[in-house]
Amino acid sequence: MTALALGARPRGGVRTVYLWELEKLTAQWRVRAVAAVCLLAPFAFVLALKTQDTVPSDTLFGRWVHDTGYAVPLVVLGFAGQWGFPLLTSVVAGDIFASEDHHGTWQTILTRSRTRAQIFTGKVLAAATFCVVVVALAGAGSIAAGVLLVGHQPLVALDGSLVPSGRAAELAVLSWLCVLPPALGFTALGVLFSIATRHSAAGITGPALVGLLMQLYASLNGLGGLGWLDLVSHALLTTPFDAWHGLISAAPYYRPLVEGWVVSAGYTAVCLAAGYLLLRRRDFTKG
Amino acid sequence: MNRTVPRAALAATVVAVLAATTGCGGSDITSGRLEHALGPTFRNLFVLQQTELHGTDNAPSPDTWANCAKGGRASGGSGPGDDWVCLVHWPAPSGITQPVAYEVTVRPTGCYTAQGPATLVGQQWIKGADGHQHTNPLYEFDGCLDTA
Repeated sequence: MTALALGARPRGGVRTVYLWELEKLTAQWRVRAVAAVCLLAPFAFVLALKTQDTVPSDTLFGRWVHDTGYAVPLVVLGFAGQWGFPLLTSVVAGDIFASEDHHGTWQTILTRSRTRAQIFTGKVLAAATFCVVVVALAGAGSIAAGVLLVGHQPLVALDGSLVPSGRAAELAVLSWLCVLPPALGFTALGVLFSIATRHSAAGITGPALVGLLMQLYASLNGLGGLGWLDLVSHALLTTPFDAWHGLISAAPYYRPLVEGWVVSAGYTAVCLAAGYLLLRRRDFTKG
Repeated sequence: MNRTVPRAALAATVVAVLAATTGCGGSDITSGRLEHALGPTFRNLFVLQQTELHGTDNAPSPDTWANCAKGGRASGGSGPGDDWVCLVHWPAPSGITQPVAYEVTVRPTGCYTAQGPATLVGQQWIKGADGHQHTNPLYEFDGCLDTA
């Protein structure tokens, strides 16, 4: 990363900001710790499972964790989508603007002949990159943990059909790719919190709290049967995290995926637009 | 850069989200959809269980018929809940098909967990023809329904 930043000194402002942000990120212990946890936690999870007879049967594919390694990435995906991704991606997204407030460095970077638009774009791209890297590491880690520690037996799909080893690996990768849009949506939400609150702690916990509230709503909606409010659950940013379910079947269905992409794109656009407006209108001369 | 760009983006997304959400009214979880998902799943898992138990699947294969009802009704109902009951056809070795009741919990996500009577479908773990212990696919199984 350093070589990249030093080797290429383009005139493009966004690129410079982006590479500089990446360099700052890779130097943070917090970022390195999250990356390491994403890669290694699935191995710890599988090792813990192997020491006992019980299975996490309350999660999809939890019943099959001892029978095929391909169940592991899907179980981890079920957990991570519910609780992990909003928090993990906000570790960077919620901090990337607020840290300039924390260190009092806004005046410094804004006098470096980079426009606010360039700084905004560069920082958002850096946060998005971190989000993609986190999802990729956790996905690769859980697939590797499953295949290496349990094996590559055929997977029983959600319609009861048997999926052969190679296809099961493809489906695991595809399923993990399917959570990128909502994860990027939460990244945008983190960016908005970071700009609006000017405080890292609020930026990091804010999106996680929103994710939690959305899930609470979805489960209450299910229990109470609130009728037309069912519509609202389609518009929640946590719903697309489940869209991969449709893929794991001999007769796959894609409507939840398409709907999830639209919803995620909507959240991303709204949060980024609002964040940019706030940043653009902010008066930095007052400190 | 001017200010109209973010505003246009905001307006466009609000319209897009509304369009995506208004297309589907009422509850997504209906007895018809549950039957359509659970029937074939049960059939596939039955074949899988027979293959594990006997090495080959030589039992009469059941059909994909299922009849689901929520909360004590004869049939029909809609919405998530833990009070669904689904009947499926269990092909007995004698060749006579008998109905089996699965207790089904449907979550708001559209995924369900079905639990069958252990006296008929077997315990959680079964000993296969290969001498190894297997997860009994029919004791409890998960699935998801297409809510489209």
